[in-house]
Amino acid sequence: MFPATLLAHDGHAPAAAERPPARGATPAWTEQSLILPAGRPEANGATPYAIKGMAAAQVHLLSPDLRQPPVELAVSGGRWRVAAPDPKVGGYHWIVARSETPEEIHVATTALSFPFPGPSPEARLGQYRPGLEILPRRLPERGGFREGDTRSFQLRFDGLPLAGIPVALETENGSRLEAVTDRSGDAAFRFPHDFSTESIDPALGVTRSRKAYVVSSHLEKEGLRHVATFNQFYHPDLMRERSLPWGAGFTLLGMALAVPLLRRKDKKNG
Amino acid sequence: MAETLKALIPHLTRLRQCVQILMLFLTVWGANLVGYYAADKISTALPALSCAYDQQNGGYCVLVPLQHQMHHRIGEALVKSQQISQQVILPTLISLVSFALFFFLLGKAFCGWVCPLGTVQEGLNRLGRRLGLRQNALPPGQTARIRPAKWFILLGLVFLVPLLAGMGVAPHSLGNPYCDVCPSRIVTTLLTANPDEFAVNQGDSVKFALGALGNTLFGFVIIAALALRQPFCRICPMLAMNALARHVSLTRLSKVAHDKCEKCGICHKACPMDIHEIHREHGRRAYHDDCTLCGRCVEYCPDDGVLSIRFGPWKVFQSRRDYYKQRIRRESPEGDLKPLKFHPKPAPGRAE
Repeated sequence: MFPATLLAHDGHAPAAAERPPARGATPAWTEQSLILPAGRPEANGATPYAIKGMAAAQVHLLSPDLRQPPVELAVSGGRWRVAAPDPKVGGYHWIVARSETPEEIHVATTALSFPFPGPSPEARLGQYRPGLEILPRRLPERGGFREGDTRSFQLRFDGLPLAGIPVALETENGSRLEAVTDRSGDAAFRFPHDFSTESIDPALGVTRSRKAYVVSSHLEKEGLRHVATFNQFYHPDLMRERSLPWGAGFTLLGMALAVPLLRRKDKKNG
Repeated sequence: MAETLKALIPHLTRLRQCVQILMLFLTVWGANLVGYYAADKISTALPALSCAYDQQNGGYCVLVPLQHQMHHRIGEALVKSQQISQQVILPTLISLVSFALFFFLLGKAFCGWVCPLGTVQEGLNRLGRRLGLRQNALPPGQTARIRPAKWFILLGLVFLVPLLAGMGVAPHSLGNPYCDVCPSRIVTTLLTANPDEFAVNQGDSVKFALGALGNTLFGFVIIAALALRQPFCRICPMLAMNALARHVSLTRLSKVAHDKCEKCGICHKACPMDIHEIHREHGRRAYHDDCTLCGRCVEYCPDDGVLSIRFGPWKVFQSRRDYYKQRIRRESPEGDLKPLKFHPKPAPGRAE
């Protein structure tokens, strides 16, 4: 079973407040902060994570169960390990990293799913949180976001939607899109078809190959710069390895096989 | 009020059709009502082919988690020589217990009243009758040959092959083989205007073969349903799953022995699954594993109290001669509908 508590890095990390915040290098494809897995899940169920492009003083794990308080994760060298805080509560959890300077408040978030049942993330998505944040309207339920999908992200400040603010989507494959939030604070993006053949891992195929994306926005308010990012992964379009003509062809074959069953009624005998 | 209700729902089949349409919306587009995430669904272990590939569904079919657990938990754990621990067995048990709870209440009614693929096949069959197509009924010899298929599909494609894929004996592409050939996957996703599952997967030869088989089966079922009642239900592994414990379910079919049964046989003609045993058998043997609990045999039995649908000790619906006489005026036991009559409006000033 998963351990009941989050594991500090190597099990020996000092408390977050005692360490100087680390700032990981941003990847070449974005200047935005990213929270990314930094290795494979371990036997005890914990997964190492790392933060890039941000000096995170505090990282919290939020359960989809609102009754559970946020768990502060022990960060060491911009890395930490994360496992479900409650082995009975799976599904989507949030990692929220926050750094504050006199000039800037920076909030980076991502969502990860533990592969056992848990409550719906709707309540946590809609929960009030202070400051600027950007979150997907819906998290992927089966199969993840894919090229060609249109997805909405909501920008909020102190829990209220922000209209008319530019939001950017950047992908690891090099695309950059911009949109402006509507009255509900939503910015909708159609994930670009930007996977090259080489970027699809043959061992994982179209179904499981993935690349990172980040959605970001910023706001100047009362002399403070607020920056919010949300990053996760997206996958190639399933249609890259599927064929509608073959689908139609085999369907027609099946239909043809059933045609001998179709006969008009003999009017005399009914 | 009662009169209006009676006019709208004059017989059991009409009631079942109303429930089927409601369930079709709930199982195919229900996420808009119950919620999008797995935790919001009615269940992720429904005893009906409510497809998990349909992102707008209101609940998942139990066969999805069963294949997944055979593949990724039990099969892989066996290979790693781990002990079959609580972590491995528990998810499978949860799926089976959730299924059993639903099943204990409603039993095989999931097939005849809830399954979206069953509803689509019935709709197509009514269309075929309206088009004047001759209907095919399977004689006992043919049903006997077809019946074992559902058990082979359940054991092979739902349990054994995913287990072998998890153990590494079969290719990883065979981890979900039943879903890959299930026509409900294609029907329900097409109903949500999503062509992904209609397109054949060319990822590797195994996926291509499964996709080809799935689409061929889908095409066959769509056309066959015009001239044969419930063609896919006859080989459906869910029918087999639902048959396993049908006698312990609260909702079930009951038949008592009657002198006239030997000569009558109308119930057999009414049965969309061509279960000939319903004619000659009684007691437990009359409630056959192919039954979908649609209730047509009860509706078309001309003798009082011989056939009934029970919920626990109570008879929810039982055969009655006066009901039979009314029913036969609207539709034949075989399902032939009363012809639609159009009465043109008389020209103004012309006497009728």
